Amino acid sequence: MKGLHIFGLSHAYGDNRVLDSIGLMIPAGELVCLLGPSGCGKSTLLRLSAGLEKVQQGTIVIDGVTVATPELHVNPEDRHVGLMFQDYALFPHLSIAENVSFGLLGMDADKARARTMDMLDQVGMTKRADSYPHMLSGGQQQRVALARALAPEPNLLLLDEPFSGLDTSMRQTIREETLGVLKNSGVATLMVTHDPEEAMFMADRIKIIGSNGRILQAGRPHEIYYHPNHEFVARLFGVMNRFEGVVINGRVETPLGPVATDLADGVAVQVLVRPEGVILESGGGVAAEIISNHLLGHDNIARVRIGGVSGKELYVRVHRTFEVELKKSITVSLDHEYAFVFPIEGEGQTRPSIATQTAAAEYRAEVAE
Amino acid sequence: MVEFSETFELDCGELDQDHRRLIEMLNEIVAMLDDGKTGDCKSKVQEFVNFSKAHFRREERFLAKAGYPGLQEHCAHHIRLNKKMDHILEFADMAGVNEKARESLKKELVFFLMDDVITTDLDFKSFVEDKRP
Repeated sequence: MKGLHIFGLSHAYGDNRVLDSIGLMIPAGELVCLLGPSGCGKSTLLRLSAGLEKVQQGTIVIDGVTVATPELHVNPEDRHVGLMFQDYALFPHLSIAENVSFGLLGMDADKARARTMDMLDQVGMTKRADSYPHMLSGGQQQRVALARALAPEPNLLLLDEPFSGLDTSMRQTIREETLGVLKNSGVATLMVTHDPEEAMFMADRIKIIGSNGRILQAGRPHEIYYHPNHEFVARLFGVMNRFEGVVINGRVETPLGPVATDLADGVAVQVLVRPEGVILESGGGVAAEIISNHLLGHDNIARVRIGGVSGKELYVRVHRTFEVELKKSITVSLDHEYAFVFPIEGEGQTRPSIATQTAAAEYRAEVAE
Repeated sequence: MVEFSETFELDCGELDQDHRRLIEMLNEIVAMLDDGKTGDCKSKVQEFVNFSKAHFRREERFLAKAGYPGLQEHCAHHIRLNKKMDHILEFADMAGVNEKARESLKKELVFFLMDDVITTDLDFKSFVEDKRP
């Protein structure tokens, strides 16, 4: 099968195990993001795939050819893998065209020139072919690095935090352009990032690696955000509101009302609610007092208190014009789509989650009857 | 077109046969979608899901009998895949009227079978090999 296939991969530095039984499949033309905190082993996985480190346990297969096992190590240059690092690593003494054609040594000179110009055209850098890296902006260097990585038509492209050096306004544009070029190339791409928004934007599939070096969840961006199966996964996307409770008759009571769960009765649980899951209203919910509000441009993040002076503080995201001073009274209610129930266990727990939308919808229907 | 490769093999006759059959079904569904036969495809997707569930049951029985220590975790993984199968069926429902659903259906089927099922199953390959007399 065309693409990357990894299975049973474990790796340690001394006593520190950074990857534990990792499995991964990326078909040609698809982009998979490894998302996880610093030090979770995601860059190690990239380096093992590229052949920059030797496999201790497990197997790596690229385009149907086994390239790494504990007994086998195909050299990086023989794996037909393109690599792009976060600092781009362009050769400063070579022109842009020479940088892009660097991986085409051995190709007929005319063909190499044509391929180089084609790649520069794809990334919109034809006019800068004779410039040198120091003459380019960060975004332009990123484009050149992408052209250089794709020029030899690799079987697999590995991207290590490719947009982390760009400023916010440039990042959005470059991400979109990069995605277009990658989809056009049909190459299997593995990208590592610690930025959840970046992973959501780029990936066909996201694989979350926890600090224990294990895959905690794999799925479409929609699935990862709306159906996290692990507390760690839910918390990756920012601050959460948290309530504790015990399951009784398939529900957990919270100050904002009951939340449905398929966990067994009697289990101690935590209910995590995204700030966008707390709805601000002017009546109809639980009375709340606004403590602070910060306009972020596209939305507001507000802090509210329910249950009086010594009550519970909650984060609320408001996607519309919102000025505290113009509000007479505020109430809050819960949007069940953004509420997730997990058993209270250690960080390494792997039990499935549980407040599914279906269960919540069934509960709402039941309440409505 | 996905082909069964020897690197996918668990060396468990029945389970490997299941994986081969699922790959065949996947290829049939993709071909139907590419040919615009979305009506036929819907029932094929249902067949694929039913077969997957039957495969999970066979696998759980096999692993229980073999005394696989990761059985509970593997069963939990199968339960989580139910939600993915629901989504696959929803995409199949929409495939006749929505190009994006057809694309998502193909993508989800490939990742489901090749990553969530076959690659994850390779976790117990070495255990099975070690148990073999």
